[in-house]
Amino acid sequence: MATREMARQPDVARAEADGGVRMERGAALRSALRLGVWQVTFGLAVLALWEWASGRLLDTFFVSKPSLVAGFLWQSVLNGTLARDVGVTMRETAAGYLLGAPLAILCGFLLAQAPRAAAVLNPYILAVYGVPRIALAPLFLVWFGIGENSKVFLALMMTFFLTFVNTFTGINTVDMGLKNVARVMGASGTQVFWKVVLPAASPWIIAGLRVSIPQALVAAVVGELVMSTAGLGYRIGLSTQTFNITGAMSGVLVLMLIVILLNLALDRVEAYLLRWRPPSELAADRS
Amino acid sequence: MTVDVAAGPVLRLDRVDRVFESRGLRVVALQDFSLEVRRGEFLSIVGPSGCGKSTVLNLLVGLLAPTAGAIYFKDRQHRGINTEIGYVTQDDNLFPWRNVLGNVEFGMEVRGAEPDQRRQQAERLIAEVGLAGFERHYRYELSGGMRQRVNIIRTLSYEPEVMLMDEPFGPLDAQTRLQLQSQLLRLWEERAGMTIVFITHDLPEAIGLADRVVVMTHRPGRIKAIYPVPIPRPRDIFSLQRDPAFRDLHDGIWAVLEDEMRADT
Repeated sequence: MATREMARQPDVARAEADGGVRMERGAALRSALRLGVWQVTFGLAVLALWEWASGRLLDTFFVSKPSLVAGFLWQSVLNGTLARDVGVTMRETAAGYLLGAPLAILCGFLLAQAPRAAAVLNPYILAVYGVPRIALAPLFLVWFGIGENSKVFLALMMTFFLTFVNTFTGINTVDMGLKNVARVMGASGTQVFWKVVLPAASPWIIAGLRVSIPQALVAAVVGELVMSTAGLGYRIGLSTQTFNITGAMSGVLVLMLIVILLNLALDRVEAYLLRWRPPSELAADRS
Repeated sequence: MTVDVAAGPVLRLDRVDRVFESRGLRVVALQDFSLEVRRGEFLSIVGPSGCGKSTVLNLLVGLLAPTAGAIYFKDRQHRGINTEIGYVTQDDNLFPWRNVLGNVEFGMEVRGAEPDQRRQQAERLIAEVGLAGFERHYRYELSGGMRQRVNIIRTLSYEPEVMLMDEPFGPLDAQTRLQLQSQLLRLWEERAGMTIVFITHDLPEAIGLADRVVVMTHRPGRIKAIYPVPIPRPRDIFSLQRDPAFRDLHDGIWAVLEDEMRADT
């Protein structure tokens, strides 16, 4: 019979598949490295330009400059205020995120099981989505006080809505064909949920979890800016009010650094969790 | 391969109607459709596109309910999804988040097979269709032909008595098709007593594989004729087309099928 032809064909395909994937990985690594070099170069160039322009084109009083910022940050490290501010903001962000994310996933799942309730709630959900939720920050301060709680709840709210809507959408877009195939193969309703619906919706859920992290951070910082006694937002606000531009810029730069580091970590996590997707479908941009 | 007539049909559609309604439009996909599938046979169904071939399979497996009439599995009327039937769909429907091994193990896993046992069974089947070395590959890393192989063996893995196949080789190139047809025949021959209902729009494929070929009319789908295929087994799918018996049968059925396809235009 035709066993020989049949055995040969996959070899060809294997060579193609393996070779293709391996080449892609090598090339991706190299281009990622090149990209990283360019990114760092760009950041340093902006700092250099700032350093040069400050005092020449721009008034140092209003824009400060990197060398001053570096000095200020060093002082903050020495006297412990930086660690305390970063600690407070990160604690608020993390608490809000870690409470909001599971709640959002749970609610998204529950609502996806009740299409009628979802239809009723839909305009309201979209309405809340359309409101600039961060504008609620002063209200949250009235409700939950000027301590860390109000910022935790703000971060929680931001995380909740982004993750909730994504989870709900993700579950509603699960391919019927995959669910049917699982049922025909003998999967129970619970098994279909855990083994098909959840993994099929995971790219959406992960995307929601991902965009929520910087938003939770923004929520905590804005809450601090409005009214607080500690944190990076508090430091930025206080410095600005006393015309300590160097202090304000330091706070902003530290925030940017935190966001960059979080995104780097999230890229890794996402790439691992969604390793089954074709590389071009991964959210991380590759040039 | 042995057709046990005495045991009665394994599947039977009894005067089944199936009507689809969407936006006020009523489409009669099947009308007064009766068919017996014998235990252990390889049955092909051909017909013009849109004649309700896929509807027949969806009814047999229970994903659709008949508008009128009844479906019998081993002489008992069956409602709802029949998990004793395997269903190989036209789209491979592989789970993209599972690698080849995970996909092949799925059916056994949800049926409660031991991890060691299902791993062994999966590895054996993967090797049997020439995919050894691809166990850890994900769907996107496989060619179309490889995906359909995985689709077929994940259904075979839990040894259903009946396997329904809906144009499984439709999107593949001619050479890959022949290879998969040949492989399918071998897999079926090794599993005595397994029944296959195979839908295709490709007449040579239908004849080459089947014990009987059912020709359907264009919409509303009815049975036009049933032809036994008197070509002995085991068959060599690659040289079959030169067989005079094959050619005669092909030309005879083609004349009938042609009428139906013309009626469609």
